[in-house]
Amino acid sequence: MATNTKPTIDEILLDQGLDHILNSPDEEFVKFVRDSDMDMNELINVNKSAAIAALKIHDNKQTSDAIMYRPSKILKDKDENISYLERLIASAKTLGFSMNISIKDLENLSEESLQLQIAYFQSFLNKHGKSKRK
Amino acid sequence: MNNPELAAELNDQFATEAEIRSAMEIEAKNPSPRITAAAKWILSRHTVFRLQTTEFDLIYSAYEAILDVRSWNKAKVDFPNYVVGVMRSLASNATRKLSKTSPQVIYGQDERDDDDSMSITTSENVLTPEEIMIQTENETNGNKRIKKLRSQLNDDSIELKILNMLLDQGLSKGEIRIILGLSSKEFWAADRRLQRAIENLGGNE
Repeated sequence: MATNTKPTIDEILLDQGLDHILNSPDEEFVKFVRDSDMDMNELINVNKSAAIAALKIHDNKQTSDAIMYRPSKILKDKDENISYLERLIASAKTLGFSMNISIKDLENLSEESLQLQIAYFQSFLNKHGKSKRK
Repeated sequence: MNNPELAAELNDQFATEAEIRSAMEIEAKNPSPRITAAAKWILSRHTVFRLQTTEFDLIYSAYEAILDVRSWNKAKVDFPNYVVGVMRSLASNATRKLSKTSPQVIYGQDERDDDDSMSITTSENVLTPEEIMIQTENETNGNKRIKKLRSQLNDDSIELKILNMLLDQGLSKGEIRIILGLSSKEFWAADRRLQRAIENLGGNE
């Protein structure tokens, strides 16, 4: 059976170039940039912009997720949490997913576990609900 | 320690989300030009993929993947090396997709045998007949290009000696420098000239 383990010549050359870029002394790297007609300021600015953009988008996504998965109302006690979780599970069942969880199982859960289950089913419905409804 | 696998596991040190974020904030405040230079180098070897993307997109995609997957093993590579490994992996994956072969990417450092490699590519993949054909064609093209590269370098040049030791003997750059008896400055200057010659050959993928 043929497997893909041996690096090709192109992979070796690619790695050697990357090794030079990453590990050569600063003085040599500056010469490499100059010889390759690269602009040092551009190299710095492109990386800076990419890092800032990735951090910003990631932060926005996390904020959005936090809003999406927070409970839709402040739940006062365990009974309300169980009731809310039952509704989430019922919605998942309505969409055709098989759920082997009974009310008795829910009553045995700690407050923390209930919150985790609520977050899980909110995420589950967000992920699968849209595609099932199409 | 008698168990090498256990020793290796204990040496693994995966970064936390906060550590990854901190490393990225350093790149945002004091960006390394080497990461962008590496992105340019990678794209120069992936000529088809280069038509569809930019250095910015490649770096951004790598950062995005790193924030989502969080598999930076600090014990094995520093952050810039890890970013470059992810970019290399993304580019290889994109090239495979463009070649209509099945992509398989793993974001981690455990796929290659050599611990000091920055590469983050595939593990042992079973190849389809199409992939075997493409690999054979690439190998043939690669051999032709190496022949051309060797003909362009002077017979007694340090660059040719480095190239031959890399390709024929599989030696590391550190080993080559010692065997050739070069100072660090002499070695890296010759290595830069070699990279320049390789760059002029262009990419194969």
